[in-house]
Amino acid sequence: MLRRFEPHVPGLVYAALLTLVAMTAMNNQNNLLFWVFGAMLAALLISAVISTHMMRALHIRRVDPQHGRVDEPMVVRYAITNQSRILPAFNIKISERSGPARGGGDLGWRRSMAPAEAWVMHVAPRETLHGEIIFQPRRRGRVAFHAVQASTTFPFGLIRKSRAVAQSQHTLIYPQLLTLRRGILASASLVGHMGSKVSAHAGVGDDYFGTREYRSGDSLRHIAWKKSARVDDLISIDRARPSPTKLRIVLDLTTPTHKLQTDCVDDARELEERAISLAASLLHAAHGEDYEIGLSVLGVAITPIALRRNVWHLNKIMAALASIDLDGAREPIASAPVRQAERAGVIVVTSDRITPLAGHEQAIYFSARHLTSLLAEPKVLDRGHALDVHAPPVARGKRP
Amino acid sequence: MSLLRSFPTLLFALVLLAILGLCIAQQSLGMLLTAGTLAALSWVITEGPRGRMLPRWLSNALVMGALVFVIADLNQNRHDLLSVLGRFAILLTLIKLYERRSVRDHAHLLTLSLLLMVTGCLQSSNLLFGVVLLLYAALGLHVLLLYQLYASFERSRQVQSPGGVAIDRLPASVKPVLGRHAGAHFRILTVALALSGVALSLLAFVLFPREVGADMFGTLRSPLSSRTTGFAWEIDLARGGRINQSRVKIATVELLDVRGSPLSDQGPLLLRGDVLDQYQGHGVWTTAPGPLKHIGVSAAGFSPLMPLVDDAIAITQRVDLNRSSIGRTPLFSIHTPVAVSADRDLSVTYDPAKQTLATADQSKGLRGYSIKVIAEPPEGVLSALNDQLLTRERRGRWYMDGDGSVAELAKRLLADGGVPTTRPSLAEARFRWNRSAAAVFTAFLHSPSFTYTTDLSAVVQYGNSRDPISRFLIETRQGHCEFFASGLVALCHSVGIPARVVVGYIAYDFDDAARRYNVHESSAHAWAEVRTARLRWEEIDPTPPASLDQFHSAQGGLGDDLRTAYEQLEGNWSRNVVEFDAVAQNHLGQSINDNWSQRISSVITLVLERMERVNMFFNVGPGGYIWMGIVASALVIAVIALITLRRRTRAIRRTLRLNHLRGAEHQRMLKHLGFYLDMIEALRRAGIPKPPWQPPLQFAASLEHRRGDTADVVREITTLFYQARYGGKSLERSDRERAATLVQELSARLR
Repeated sequence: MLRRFEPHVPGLVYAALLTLVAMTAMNNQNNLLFWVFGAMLAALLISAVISTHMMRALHIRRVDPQHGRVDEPMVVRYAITNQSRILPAFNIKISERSGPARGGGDLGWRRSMAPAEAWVMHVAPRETLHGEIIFQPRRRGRVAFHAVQASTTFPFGLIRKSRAVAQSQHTLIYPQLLTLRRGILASASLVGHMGSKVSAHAGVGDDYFGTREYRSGDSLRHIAWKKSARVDDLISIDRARPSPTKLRIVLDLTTPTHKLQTDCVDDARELEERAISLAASLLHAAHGEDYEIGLSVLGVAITPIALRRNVWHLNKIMAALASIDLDGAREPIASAPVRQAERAGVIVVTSDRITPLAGHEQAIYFSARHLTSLLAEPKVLDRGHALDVHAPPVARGKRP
Repeated sequence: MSLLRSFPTLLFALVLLAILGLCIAQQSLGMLLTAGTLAALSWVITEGPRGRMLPRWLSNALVMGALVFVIADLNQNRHDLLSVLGRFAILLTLIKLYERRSVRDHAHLLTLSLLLMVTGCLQSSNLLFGVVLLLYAALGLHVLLLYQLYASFERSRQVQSPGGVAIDRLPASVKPVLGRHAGAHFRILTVALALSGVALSLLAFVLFPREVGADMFGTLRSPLSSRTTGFAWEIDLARGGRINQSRVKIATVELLDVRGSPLSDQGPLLLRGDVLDQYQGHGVWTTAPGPLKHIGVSAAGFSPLMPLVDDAIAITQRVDLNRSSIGRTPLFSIHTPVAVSADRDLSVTYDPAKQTLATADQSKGLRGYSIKVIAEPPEGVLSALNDQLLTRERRGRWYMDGDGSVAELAKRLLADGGVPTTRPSLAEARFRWNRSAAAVFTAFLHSPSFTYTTDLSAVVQYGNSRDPISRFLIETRQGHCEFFASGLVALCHSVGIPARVVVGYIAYDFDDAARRYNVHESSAHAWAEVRTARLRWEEIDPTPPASLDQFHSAQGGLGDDLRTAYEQLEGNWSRNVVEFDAVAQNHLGQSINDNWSQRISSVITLVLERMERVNMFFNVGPGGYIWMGIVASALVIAVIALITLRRRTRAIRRTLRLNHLRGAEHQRMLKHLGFYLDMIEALRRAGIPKPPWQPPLQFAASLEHRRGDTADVVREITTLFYQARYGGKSLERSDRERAATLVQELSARLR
């Protein structure tokens, strides 16, 4: 725990004013000015004492932060407890102290987000309140919080007293989600089969599932007349539940960053991030259409994620995308990225040039270079880069 | 939120108060009306339904205009820099009130209001300004505290808005996080801060060394500063401003005849304090230094000043002071003092040439004295003083008429009054001529062309190089008693007549029931003495008698009572605050020192007596004191230990939730589980507090991630705790020692 007084510009101005008043009072021997000087000095002393006692009684704790997403507000909550019996706390500012950034994808939080602070106006004695900091993550990945700092300039704004408490926690920043053009997924479904497996459950689809006794309310169109005639009883036909569309996104990151064909490394890294964002956006859109989704990442040691259809599965996929470390060594494609028996549609997302995967020439291929053309509202994704190429997406494994 | 909503209104009120204070200090009703109206209008214009504010370029232009105005003002009023500064500050404040109010603008307004009040402090010290200053301090404290919250709230709203939207366009939905009873807590804290601030500032006011660094950067006093009536050891006619009357009673004077019977009303009494016979120029009269006699005075009887005086012809003047004297104080007397006594032993200085008495510098605490006086000293007495009188005449510095206008006026008056303009050579004729000339001059000063006034703020011109006395006699013809006395003496000096200014009191108020005169601070007066015989000085009061009557006599009724009450308050304010100087500081320190020394010494004496009694009772001898000291120390240590033990027991009971246990089980837990409390405390100090809702084992497990280096120790301590608390195990001494060692190890690791 670190407690300290920090220099504060208004306090320095105040000290200068105090000196001026003292010198004027001494020069003029003006008793009213002596009183004003006394009052100003008293304010300084009281400010130091009050702020010290206030901070000593405060206890701050970061509540487990939720995951964030690039370019979306991320709320981190803090519990502030005033342990004093009589002195309330006013004007408390809470912020995160920056800690050392470690390797292995664990970024110091400042690399991912701009500093922000929460403000709590008042905490009564023996009371616990919650304040929130709203961060705006700029970068995907794993961020580490190290210590929380609370500070106050109350009562007179002359001295800033701060207190830091060590509390290490980690969280993930998911990739940016982009609004894709309508029909992207639908047009992809025209190519190849996507989810043509027959469901093993009864439902209201078109495929034959079985027969059963007639129940009141069954439609006359669903009665198997011939069989009913044979058994001399009404028999209804059960239809199979429609099988959800299946989609697997294959994110191809086998090409190392330095081998991408760009003018500088930053552009290459930006391309890779765009590819990840595109993959995340496609998965998010597919989840919204009730697809069963799965993810395979080539070139990075991430286990392929099976096809499922629920929110936790989506979060699991997003977490996997968030934890991709682009600085690590890239692995060659060792095995088939998609099992043939999976019978799912495949969209391959690459950073740069499209290289069709063996056995998946019929898959849909998207390149990060063409991201702008896939967006519902094309915009400049980054500042002045020459990466925005307005070309139509390439399908069927053809090269641009 | 209502707390924050009140901030703009309170800040506006504070600024208005500061403007009021400065206008009172500068005694400018016109400025008050103008500035006040403009300030009030600014609220309507800027905060109204269609709030309009000055664009930045216009406010900048107005500031430049104000600067030009100030430079022109300064050219005209070079000697009144403070007033110019005050007017400039008001202009800036008014411009600021019409601008858009951001957080920074609020800070500017606060600073400008403080500047207005500080400028006012430099210019005025009257009671009304003092009241405004106190109100400003109280409101200013509240507003300053609110400003901290308001500024932080606005900043947090700006931070939370996307894209840095301007503050006034932010949605109001962003609310501050606040706990229960925020408003009540804020008000209580404000009051507590105000009280402690007043106490500390009072301490600083009393303790700040006076007369250190005076005028180190030159004189920066406002010529408009007001003064309060009262005795002063010198006259400075160049100080203008207004003289505030203070009807605070400072003394009573009783006249007793030779038989000791109180005399009836003798009419207004002129009580002589000091004689100012040296003119320094520019309206300053001082007393010329000379040989003084030091006389020891006691309460036992009268100490004679002139051995040749027959007591039978002297009357006794008894003076009782309402406040004990501090430092050198004149002993006022009518006529010529011939003997003096006091209510305590003290040293008195006697100036035979001026016939004045004063206490020595180190005297204090004088509450009353008696002086035997005679109206007409015998010739023998005066002869004994002859040498000293003449010697003093040579030493005094007469009025010098720079341009000859006063001499010309004097000669013209003499000619008009039928008195020869040239001085006769024979002594007797010369003294008769002195008397006649003085009468002519007095009649001139009593004429309707002269006006008595105590407010010279409109009359005194600073930067005017003309002598104030000459200006009074020739141009303005307005002034108070000091001007009239100086005028008469100047006219006399210009034609060669020996004359001098006398300062003291004029006692008007005679109490018929008590048969004594009441002397008020407002009774301070100045008159002249003219030499009308070889060794005789005749008292002449050139102040118009009608003005004196009007100034000093009470009118009666509610108005007079209220005025008296106000003047009493103002007198107390003036005496205790405005005029609190080094002498008063020393006196206060001495009296506190004496009081506390007395009390402490009496307590010590009492304790020593008791100890002696105890020692005698036990008959132990000198060693008994040592035993008593040991017993007392042991008692103190025992009390401290008891308190510490009690606090620890309560902490254990509260932290480990043992309140439901009773009897032996309770005692066992208290005795054995203290080590767990120590562990919790050590972790809390290191910033790892245990949440009250979290079970101990779960808390220990959570430390694996937060502080892996301490997790094993904490786990072991927690295991011991569980065994004792829930497992019914009675911890052996070795277990307790092991627990204490583990806690120490934990503390070391956490450091």
